[in-house]
Amino acid sequence: MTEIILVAVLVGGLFVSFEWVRRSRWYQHRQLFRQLCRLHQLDRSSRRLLQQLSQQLRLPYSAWVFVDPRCLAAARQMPGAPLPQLLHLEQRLFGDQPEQTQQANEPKNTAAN
Amino acid sequence: MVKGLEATFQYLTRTDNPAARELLEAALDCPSAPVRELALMALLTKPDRVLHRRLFARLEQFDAACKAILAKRSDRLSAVVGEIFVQTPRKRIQEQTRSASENKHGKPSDGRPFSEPPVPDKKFQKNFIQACEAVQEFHLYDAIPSLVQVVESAHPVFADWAAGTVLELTKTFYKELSAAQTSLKDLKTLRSRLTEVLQASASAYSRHGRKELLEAFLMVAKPQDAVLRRILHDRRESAHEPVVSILTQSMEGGVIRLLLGFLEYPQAPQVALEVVGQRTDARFVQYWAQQAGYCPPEVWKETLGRIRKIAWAEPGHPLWTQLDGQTQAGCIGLLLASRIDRLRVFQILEYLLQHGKPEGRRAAAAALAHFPGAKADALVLRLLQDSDPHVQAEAIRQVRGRNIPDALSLLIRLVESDQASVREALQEALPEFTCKKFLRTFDHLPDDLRQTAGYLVRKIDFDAPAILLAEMQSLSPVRRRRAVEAASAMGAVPELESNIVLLLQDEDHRVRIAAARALADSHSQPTWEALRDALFDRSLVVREEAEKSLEKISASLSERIEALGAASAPSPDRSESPISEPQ
Repeated sequence: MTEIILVAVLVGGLFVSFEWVRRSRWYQHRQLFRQLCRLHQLDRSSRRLLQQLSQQLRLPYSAWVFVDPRCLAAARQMPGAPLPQLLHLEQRLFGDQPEQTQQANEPKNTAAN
Repeated sequence: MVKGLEATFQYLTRTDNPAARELLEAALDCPSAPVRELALMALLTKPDRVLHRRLFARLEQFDAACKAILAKRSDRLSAVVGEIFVQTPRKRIQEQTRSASENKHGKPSDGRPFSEPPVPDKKFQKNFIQACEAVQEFHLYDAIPSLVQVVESAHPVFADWAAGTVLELTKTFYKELSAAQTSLKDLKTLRSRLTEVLQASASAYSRHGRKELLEAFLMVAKPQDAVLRRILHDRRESAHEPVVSILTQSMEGGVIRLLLGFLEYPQAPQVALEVVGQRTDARFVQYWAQQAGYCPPEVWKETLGRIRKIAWAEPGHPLWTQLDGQTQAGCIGLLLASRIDRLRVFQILEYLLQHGKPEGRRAAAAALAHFPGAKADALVLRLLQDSDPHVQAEAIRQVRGRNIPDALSLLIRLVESDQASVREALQEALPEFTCKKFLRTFDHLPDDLRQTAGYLVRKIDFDAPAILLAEMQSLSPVRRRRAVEAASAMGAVPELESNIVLLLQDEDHRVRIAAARALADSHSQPTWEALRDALFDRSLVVREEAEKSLEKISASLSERIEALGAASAPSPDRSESPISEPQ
């Protein structure tokens, strides 16, 4: 009987903690990042690259790379950056809007900085 | 071009993930304009009042493009400002409660006297003012009911702002309404909603005492509005005096429209008509006179007939100099339709004939027709010599109707005028001198009278040549012959020469005789040739008339040649002149 109760408590605990995680801000932002990757049909390496970029630039939200074209432009300036992949991503996420490229080169402080 | 970015924002718009909202709000600070705009569009789509409140708080930071986006979704802002306005009266109650408790415990904490109501906190004031500005900027007409509520029950600081905002917003609405090309139906619905709210506020004037609300009401109200009529009819109404004062002084297009609208209703309140007559500002009188014109609309006539006093109806009133000719003419129409003393109107006409603008003078001259009597007769006779042909024409039309002695000869003296308006007036004034009448009586007229009458007819009746031409082509030989003879009497032969030449071949010998005789007045080559051919006509009388005409033409030509020769020959004085023969 005790075992059953223990299992039930364990399952309940797991469920509660899963719910707690699911409702956490961290999880929601992670989910949003994944959803946007899926939307733009990004492959595993591109996802990883964007994730790393988000960490290196210390962006408040990982999905910010999908919104602000300056992030990818800044990444291109980094030493050892995979330029072809970054250009491909830039094209994919932001199209070829000239204004974005121009503004991307301007060093301004935003939510990303 | 921004497919990727658009797709991202489309997704962020439709996802339920709360992280998307955070991301979008952060994107409002992005330096890239398209990102900011897409973020704002996405946020406005979300039905989240808290979010919209935060957007409202950032209103000052938005650029023109973002404000344009906001203007398209003004319903979102309406809800937020509506909330602020609804909270305002409650704030007052809260502050009053606080004040009451302070009274109980001694003195107010901020050191103000007890009599003054407590001023709400500065943050709320700032919010409220921002809301008022947003209402004006984004034309949030939906906020008017809650603003009216604020005026009626909030702290005076807020009430001032709210009343001013309601007035400004109503002005904007009226401008939109009067310039509306499309979606007029929506505006009309909105107008009736606004009118309803402002009607209630006008009825509650004793409670708030705000003239701004009354003026706003008058701008959107219709003349048949029941509340407005009640206020105007009942002098004991608290709003009666202020409404009359606004109607008398306001320069707003909406108020002027309302006042002029009363003229369409014969049952219009007498007070409103008194106000119409009292106003002497050029803007109002211009609108009134221009809408009326010299002949006011039929629907106005009955109401205009109830106006006994018009403040500017005085000769030499300063307003006359501010009005253009068209308006002066309209004013004359209004004076004639009103119940103002006729003698006064006549004096104004005299004044305008002396000092008025051209159109005003013409209308004044025409208006004299309504005034019989020796004074008017003398004025009309004087106008026959006026420098303006249109004024002259108006006088010509009146001369005979006034039974002025020697009227016919006075008019006949004017037939030499080359002014079309004068000749047109003469045609109206002298109906007996028409070509048709002349032809009808032609055979009974003695020869000398034929010439005089014919000359006058030709001067007065512009259609004479066309009528004569039609007569010459008539089937009746009598009419053809009479037309030729009339043309000769009128001196119109050179003008109709080619048609008369054709009549030399007419089957009726009397027509041919008349044509041959008439052509003596024409000296052209074809006439000469036609008359020469007529010398071989089968009728002896025609041949004789042709010969006579040819002789007349030759005599006239030789006279002319002699005259020309005399003119070109050097004069004895000139030949002896030291200038022509230098020594």
